[in-house]
Amino acid sequence: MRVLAEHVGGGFGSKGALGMETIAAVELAKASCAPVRVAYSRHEELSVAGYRPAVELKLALLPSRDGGIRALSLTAYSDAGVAANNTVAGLARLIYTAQAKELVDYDVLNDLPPGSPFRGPGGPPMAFALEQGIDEAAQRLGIDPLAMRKRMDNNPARARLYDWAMGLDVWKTRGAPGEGRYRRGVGAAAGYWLYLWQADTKAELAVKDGRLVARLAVQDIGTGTRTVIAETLAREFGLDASDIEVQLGDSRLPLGPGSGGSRVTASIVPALLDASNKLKARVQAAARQAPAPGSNAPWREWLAASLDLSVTGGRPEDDKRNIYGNASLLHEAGIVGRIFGWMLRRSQKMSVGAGAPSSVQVVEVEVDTWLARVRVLRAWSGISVGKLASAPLARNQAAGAFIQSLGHALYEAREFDPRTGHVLSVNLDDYRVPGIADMPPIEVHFDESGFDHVPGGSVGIGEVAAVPTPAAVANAIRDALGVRPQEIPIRPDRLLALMKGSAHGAR
Amino acid sequence: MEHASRDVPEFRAGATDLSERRRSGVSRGAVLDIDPAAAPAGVSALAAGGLRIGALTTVATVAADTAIARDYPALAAAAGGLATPQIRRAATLGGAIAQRNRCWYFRNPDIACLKKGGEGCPAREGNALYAVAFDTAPCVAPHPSTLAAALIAYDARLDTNQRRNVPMVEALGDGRAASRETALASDEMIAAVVLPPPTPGERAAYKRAIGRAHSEWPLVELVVAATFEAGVFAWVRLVAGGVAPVPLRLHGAEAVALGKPASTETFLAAAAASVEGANPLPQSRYKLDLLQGLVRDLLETVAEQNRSG
Repeated sequence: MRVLAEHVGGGFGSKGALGMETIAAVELAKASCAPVRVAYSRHEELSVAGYRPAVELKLALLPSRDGGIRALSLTAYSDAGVAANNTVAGLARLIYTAQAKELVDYDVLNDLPPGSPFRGPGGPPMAFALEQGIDEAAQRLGIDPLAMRKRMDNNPARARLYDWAMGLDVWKTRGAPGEGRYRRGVGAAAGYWLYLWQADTKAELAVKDGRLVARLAVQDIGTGTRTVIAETLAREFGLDASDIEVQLGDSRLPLGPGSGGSRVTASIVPALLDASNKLKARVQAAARQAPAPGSNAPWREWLAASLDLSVTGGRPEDDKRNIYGNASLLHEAGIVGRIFGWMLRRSQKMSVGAGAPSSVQVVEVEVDTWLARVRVLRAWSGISVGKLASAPLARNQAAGAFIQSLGHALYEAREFDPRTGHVLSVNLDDYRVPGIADMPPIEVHFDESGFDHVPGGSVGIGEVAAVPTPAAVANAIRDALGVRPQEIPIRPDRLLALMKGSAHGAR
Repeated sequence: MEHASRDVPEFRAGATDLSERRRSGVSRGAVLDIDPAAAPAGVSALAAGGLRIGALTTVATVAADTAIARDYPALAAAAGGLATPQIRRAATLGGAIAQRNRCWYFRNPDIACLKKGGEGCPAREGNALYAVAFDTAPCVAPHPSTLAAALIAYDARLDTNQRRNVPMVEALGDGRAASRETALASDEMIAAVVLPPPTPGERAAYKRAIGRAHSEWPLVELVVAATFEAGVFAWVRLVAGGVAPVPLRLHGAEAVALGKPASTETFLAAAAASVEGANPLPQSRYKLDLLQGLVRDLLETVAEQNRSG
């Protein structure tokens, strides 16, 4: 069996596992010795091909007088249809310190099609509850919500992001929402994700006809993995990214990480650096002649003169000496977290590293109280994922994550017939995605320190950048209206109900 | 288990919607292409005043035509405010009037419903988030045509391949017909729209209440046309879409505004009157708030137009 996936467009969810239809197609192809093609219509894709599970959360939070958390209770009832094992409330274990936390996850099983992991699984819904809870506590205590987070949060990267956010003019000058038809509000929220890396990642690096070729079985899901590989090697060898040939998306290539859990960059960059070091040594050892002293592109010359040869690099361990005492985030979850981390490493060769990719977002909204529409006027996304493996693509990921999460916050939802379970939102009129005119200017701020213990210094961005958005939008609406959204998407009917003092919309 | 409309022939004009329904399997009857000579595109002035607009005229042309913009500004605004630029370039006036509804039960080929010749309205007992708020027909889908609402505001008439001078309100009927959203016969094709002589000094506005900025079917939409004398509403038309089985003329709100000064008090009183007689489903009650918001918004808009000349 050989898997080819050279180009995957927009794989931001529901792609982590083989679906029943794909398995059936493989079996059919094997039985018939003929090609079998699986192609979902839009109707099928939007009804049975996976989705972010719905979840209902109950939150109780007891702040201490000094703005910390004494106790936090978060209970999640997840609806992924026939699928199980949702983790939403549990994610609140790994952010903010509290004297006591009670976090419980339930699956509510039913006959609807199965949900599946989707960009930061459980993260945005968890933050929607927790980050609004903290915002509410800060409002009631009369404390700056960002300053309160800084006090209860022991993560140094987020501490810097809080300072950055508190320094924004929009935050410093936020004032009364006004009394007229249009009300303005500013909200903030924080998020984190696990720093994951795949321990058995391999990267092959070859010189072929004087040209550098990178080969590994990773896939580009539209995030620019090809470019990350090419730019990483270009920096190492003093070449242009276009000089480097990248081969990926083929299961015959050396094993790479799956595109999930934001683990690709933190897995492949170190392996590529390892391969680069090995290749340099091999090329120099085999060379008959070194480049002339003072060459401004010595590796261009080394490679041009080199015989064809090939090396394979692996993913080395991180530097044990780091500010986190080499403790992975899971250590904060106590013995259960440690066991979970050990099992992940044993069974899936997946490691949870030290430090937490982090994000703090600030949004400014305008609410039209007559026509019940929210416009996001401006947005700021502060991200801590170490050094940027490719700056334009990191910005693209950060903005893209914000856009997708804004759709989650304001527009997107699967709608069902309550009696038959038919999915009704099976076209792009009824499944509402954001349009260009719904997008605010998005300012992205990168805090590049904090992951120096990772070879190359870069960790993944795709999920952490999506986590805080629905909560930040909700907090901004709370600031504008004085009432707190409790359901997403925050549609006109829900906004109207909210303004009338009910927590529930048309349904 | 596909549930198509009864296999009746359907006319094809711009095909912006028909092609999608045929792809999904909801529409499976014969397709009748329209002879361009039978419904020629174009806008022409009538000797007795008024305009005749051929049914094959595109929505973009209706939006851009200078005579329409001058004399029937609510129609121009409505045409420019619907769908997307691509759709407006291809879709026709006749097709926009006779288009099928947007109900997600109707659009789903796996589900039977009244408007597909089936029995019962599954939305009525089901997910009625986008349903009517004036529940006056067995089917709870709002009428989809923005242009029909504007044409009702102007007392327009239709010429068809079978009749002449059919009042818009009569052509649309009461929304109770099975398998269509008009009261036209199944083999009746709209040939042209005839607009009566314009009302001098008319102010007009169109707006839809939607969750996003553009390109969304209206939750509620409103067409307003009015004239003023010394700051008082002298003539006013309010027609709402998205709330009833046919575009709904808001007679009560019109009566409240007529003869009253263009003041916030009048706008609010008209808004309150606009929802009289409504009988929403539990899920569609919010549309009444949106309707009131639109009435207030657009009456204020036309009053402001009048003030600033």
